[in-house]
Amino acid sequence: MRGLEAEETWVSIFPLEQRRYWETVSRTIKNITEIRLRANRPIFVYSDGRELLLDHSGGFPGEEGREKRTTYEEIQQLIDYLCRDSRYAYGEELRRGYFTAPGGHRIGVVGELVTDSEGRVRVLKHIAGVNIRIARQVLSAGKKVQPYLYRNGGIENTLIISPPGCGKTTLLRDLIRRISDGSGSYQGRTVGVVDERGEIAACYQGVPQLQVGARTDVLDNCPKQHGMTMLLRSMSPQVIAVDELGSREDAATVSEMAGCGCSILATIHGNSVEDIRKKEMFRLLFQEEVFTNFLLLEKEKGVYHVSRQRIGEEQICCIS
Amino acid sequence: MLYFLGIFCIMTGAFGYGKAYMYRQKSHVLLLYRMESIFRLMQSEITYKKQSLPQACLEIGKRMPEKEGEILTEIGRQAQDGSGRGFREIWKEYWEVYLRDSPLELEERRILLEISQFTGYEDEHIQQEMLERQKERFADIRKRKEDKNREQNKLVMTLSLSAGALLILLLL
Repeated sequence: MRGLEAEETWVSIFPLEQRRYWETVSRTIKNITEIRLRANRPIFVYSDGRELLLDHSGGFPGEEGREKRTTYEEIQQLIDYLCRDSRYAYGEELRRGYFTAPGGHRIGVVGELVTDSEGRVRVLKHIAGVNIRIARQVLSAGKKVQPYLYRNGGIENTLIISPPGCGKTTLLRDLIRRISDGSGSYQGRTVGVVDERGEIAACYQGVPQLQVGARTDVLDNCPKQHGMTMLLRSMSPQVIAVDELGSREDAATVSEMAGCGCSILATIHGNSVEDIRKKEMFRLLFQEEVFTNFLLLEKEKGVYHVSRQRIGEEQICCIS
Repeated sequence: MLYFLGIFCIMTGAFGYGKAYMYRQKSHVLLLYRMESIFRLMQSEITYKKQSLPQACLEIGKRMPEKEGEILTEIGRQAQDGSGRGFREIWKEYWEVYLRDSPLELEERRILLEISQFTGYEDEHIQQEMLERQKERFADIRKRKEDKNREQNKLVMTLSLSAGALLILLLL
């Protein structure tokens, strides 16, 4: 999986006052995957696995002390612009620590938390650090992987495992598109997507902004536990796709769905199948053998590798 | 016969002047009502749908047939189109253009434009409070205007008709 086909549309997440600078950066540095802004500290961008510092002209600082530092005001301006001057409307997302910008880019935030007497987060104020993860649609991401999802004419319950930043969501999105549209000998299937963080389809007012296939129904900004049940009842999908299983409840719902006649395609943070198996909260998935097919993603020198492991098969199959 | 026709014309003119004055005052009050309702509807959009300010403007704009509806729709659309300009700037720009031909007075104009300063709150209740405060300011002005108009309208009508009668006497 190599080569990024998406246009550099991420620049539009910045307000007009900052946009010119980032346009210059996007021309200087290609394939940016992450931008880290911290109040009164240097800007770091990540591209093809490299960490880069930026200077005031959007290039690389030749010597120490010439790097550009983000001001607190610039961060407030960015957050206000992304929240459309309505931070209250993003209250839940800000309390969680991240929200999704138009285009599916994930904006992680840190600042000062205000909690109530029971320790629940009420408000995140004085946002002083932002991590922008650039969402990319790589239309070839799932091409080689797709055949490894099918078994006996059906789609096997598949879990995509990888550490953060290796392209789980990108691969999942393309697999959803391919399953939904169908290609060659693969017939198109109805796919239901529970897009809890709005990263898979990047919906705007309910309409997917990224290509997720003609037979795909997306439930946007909905918790996985509710979303999967709702989709099953309302849209009868043949495949349900979810991103980042992360709790015991998620595992229980997936396990329940797997017995309802639809296939599950999910992603999870981890390094290996064994790594996931050791986690207490996912024990149920292995006890009930919900997933029999595992895709492992890893990144080496900016190149992504996918391998496949199946329950009952010792050998790990290298896909790309 | 011509005398009576002349008297009728003068009195109709005087009455018409009085009515026109009353209509002008009434249309100003109606405009203040519309401004109040914009803020009230924005509050509802935030309370019940947790809409962002541009989304609230879009929703209200769709349901408001007057010119103000068009402006709200345009503000909502532009604030969400990714042009890089924020809601505050767009709000101010559009209402400033609208106010060039508006009968709204200085204080009323200020209330309308000030909204752009009262945004960006983390808590929706504070945002609602701010809208409530601006709405109340419009409501106070409107109530004062209605009371004043009631008194003034009687006076203007009496004066118009008296002036008409005086003119007839002078002409006779």
